[in-house]
Amino acid sequence: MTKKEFCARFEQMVQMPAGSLKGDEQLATLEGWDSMAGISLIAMADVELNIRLSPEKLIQSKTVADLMALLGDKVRD
Amino acid sequence: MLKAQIRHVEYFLPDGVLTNEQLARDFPDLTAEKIERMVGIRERHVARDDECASDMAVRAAEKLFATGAVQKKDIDFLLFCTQGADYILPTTACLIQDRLGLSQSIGALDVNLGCTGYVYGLSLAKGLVETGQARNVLLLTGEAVRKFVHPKDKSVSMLFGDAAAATWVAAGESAHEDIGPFVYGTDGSRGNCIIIPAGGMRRRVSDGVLVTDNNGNSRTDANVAMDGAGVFAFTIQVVPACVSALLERAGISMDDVDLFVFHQANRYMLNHLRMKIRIPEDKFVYALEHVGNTSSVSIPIALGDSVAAGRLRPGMRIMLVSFGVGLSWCACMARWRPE
Repeated sequence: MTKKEFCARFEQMVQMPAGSLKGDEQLATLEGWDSMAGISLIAMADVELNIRLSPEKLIQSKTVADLMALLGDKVRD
Repeated sequence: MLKAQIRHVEYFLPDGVLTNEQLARDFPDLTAEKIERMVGIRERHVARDDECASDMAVRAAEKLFATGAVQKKDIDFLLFCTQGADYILPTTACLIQDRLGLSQSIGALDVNLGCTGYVYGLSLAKGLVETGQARNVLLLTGEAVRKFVHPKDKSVSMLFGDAAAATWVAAGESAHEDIGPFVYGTDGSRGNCIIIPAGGMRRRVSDGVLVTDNNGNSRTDANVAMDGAGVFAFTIQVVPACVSALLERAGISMDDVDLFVFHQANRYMLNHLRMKIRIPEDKFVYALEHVGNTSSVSIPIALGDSVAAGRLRPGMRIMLVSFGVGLSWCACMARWRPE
């Protein structure tokens, strides 16, 4: 998955307009970043990337880039 | 060989109904459509303030007896699974024995488990029957979880519904196992993922303080609190492995299972599990649209609805999979053996 593809998927999860996410946003500023969005991200990582994301790691993440970093080399440039 | 068999299932829903439209009025950031899209639930039933889990369980049992499938005098053991007992003591199952007019020569006990309670109940019923201690077990499950839902907590208000079910498990001649094998799992380190902190012995009296979490949900320590993401992450980790372990223990493949009946947590989670485990949709039961997540009652509701819809037929081999509060998970194979 490319970073661009991740951002497109993440925009859907947090209900942002397509193409509006840059990737360096603070999660606290995103109105749609809630428990349900977290569940959607855990689900996507599980099914599409075979990565087990812990809710604790999501809570510790400050930015969208931090979330991408949790997915390691499964999200590339 | 005498084997335990599931003979009949009936369930009872209280009259009160909470629709998505009503919920959307309480939570301005939600619409009825969005709630349905998120959790696959349109409405949940709500017990009256004076209606306990035991009251609903008695109604479910009366429905079972009214079918004529089994008579009260033949019940020789009563199991009542609930996390909403009438009293700290006495045991609610003892009170139900009297209310139903069952024999005084029976055993009766409560089982305190939530979402996994039905499958555990089948396990206990099987043990009683196949060790010759009972021939006709009445397994009741009942929950009135909504009494613990704070009206300003959408994370749980969208999900939970009240209900009760009555299952007759009987001894029958069979060449093979009609209930079982079982696979169990427990992780108490994640007990606080779904918890009502106050009201038990650890914290007998609520402090009454209203707390609002990061998602804008408010509750006191006397209300049910759920870490949705934590429960989801736990479930997608343990349930697929539990299903694989059960297939291996039973010595069968996915193709040998006629119907998969999972605890009806919410549709989003069920879809995820079904796709991850690769269960064909025509072999998978969804039964929460009009009842919500009813904890230990969700599997018997799904069984009852599947029988009514003609999807569950005599002799079919079914897999029952439950997971939730504890955290606890449990699955078993069974054959549908109606009377």
